[in-house]
Amino acid sequence: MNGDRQDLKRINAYIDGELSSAEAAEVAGALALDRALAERVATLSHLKATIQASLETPDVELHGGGAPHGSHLRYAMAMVACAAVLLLVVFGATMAPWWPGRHAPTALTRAWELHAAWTRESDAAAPRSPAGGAVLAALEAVGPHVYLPDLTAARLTLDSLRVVRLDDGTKALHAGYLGTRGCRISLVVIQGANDLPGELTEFERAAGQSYVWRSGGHGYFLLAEGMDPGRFAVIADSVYRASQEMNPFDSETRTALRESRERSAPCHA
Amino acid sequence: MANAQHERIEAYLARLFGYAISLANDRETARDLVQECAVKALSAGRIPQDEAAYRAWLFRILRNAFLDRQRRETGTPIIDNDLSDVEEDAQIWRYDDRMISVLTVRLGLTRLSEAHREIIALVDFGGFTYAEAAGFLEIPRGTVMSRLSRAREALLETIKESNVQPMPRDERRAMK
Repeated sequence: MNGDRQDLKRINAYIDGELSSAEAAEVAGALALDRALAERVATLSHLKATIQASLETPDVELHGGGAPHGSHLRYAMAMVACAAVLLLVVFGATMAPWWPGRHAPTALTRAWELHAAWTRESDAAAPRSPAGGAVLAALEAVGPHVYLPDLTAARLTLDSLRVVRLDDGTKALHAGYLGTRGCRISLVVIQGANDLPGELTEFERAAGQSYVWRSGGHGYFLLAEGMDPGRFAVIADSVYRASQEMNPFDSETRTALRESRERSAPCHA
Repeated sequence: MANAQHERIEAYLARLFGYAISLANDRETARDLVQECAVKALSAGRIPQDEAAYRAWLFRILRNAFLDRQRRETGTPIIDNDLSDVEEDAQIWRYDDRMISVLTVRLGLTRLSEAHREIIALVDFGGFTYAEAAGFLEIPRGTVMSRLSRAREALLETIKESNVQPMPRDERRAMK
């Protein structure tokens, strides 16, 4: 085997279990002699396993009679999650004045500058999604334990990723998400940012709303302009909790994100 | 009886969702397609008993729902099944497996052609054999082999591509 097109087809058939036992034995023998070929098979096997691991169950209602199913439970839990978010927002608005940094942290201004730079660019360019390699490279550039959320449940698509070195030498990751109704959200993750609160804290200014928190040794700034405050609170709470756990959103959170969008008006930035 | 049908279709929801995303390339549309597929399947009079036939039947309902939706929206179905499977020289690549993750795979899949997404969805999400996929798509088994091989290569390429952009110099200055 020398890596031509026919070999690629056979290798794919091999990892899919589509070869006869004689053909599979022949490929296995070739793998033992050819390290590059073995690496290729390993990569394709890893890719196949990852594709299968990427499956997720949608939140759909199964009509047609019979007992209620998990979707009802999921809906109820989503409602509880929404209520919890509203409580958190009320609690935050009440308690935040005691936090010494209630005066907006300096880095928040930098985060808004990054948001503004991306907004100007996205006005002038067609939407585009960063390639997977760009995502990993950007995350690695800023450091370990950086959380980048998948906001597609809220119908927000990752449009841009940038790594920027700030004036004090720290690195910041800017992720810009575009919605389908004019919404733009920025998530800025800054190394260190030790003056930020650990809990989710809301700030408002003329330019828009923002939530900040600290997780995993990084400061997180979530920014939006003209977005329904209730919807933005649900998004902020979801990203905040997920960044603490470093896990993707669970189905209840995805439901809450989807329903908060459906209930909200388009953005008016 | 209804509960048994619920449980039977629930076991396929994730795979159907993956396939629906491969067709629609949009999660909300995909969710609607799965919903429509589930409703049709649960209200059907005759349901295949054999598991492989049942799976193919579900995927067929979903595909038809997608084509119906396309007809309503554009007048004609535009599923790209005429993808050229012309032989080309293969490239030998050395790949960093750390680049492959659920996130990069999901992003990568959105950048593939519809035919490439669909063949990956049928084989890797749906668990179709090559022969089953060939029957489902009404193409030769050899075409399934070459299309799948190309689709995985294309997916690896999209994962490998990088477009991290440095901040323009004047904007960096403005941050000071």
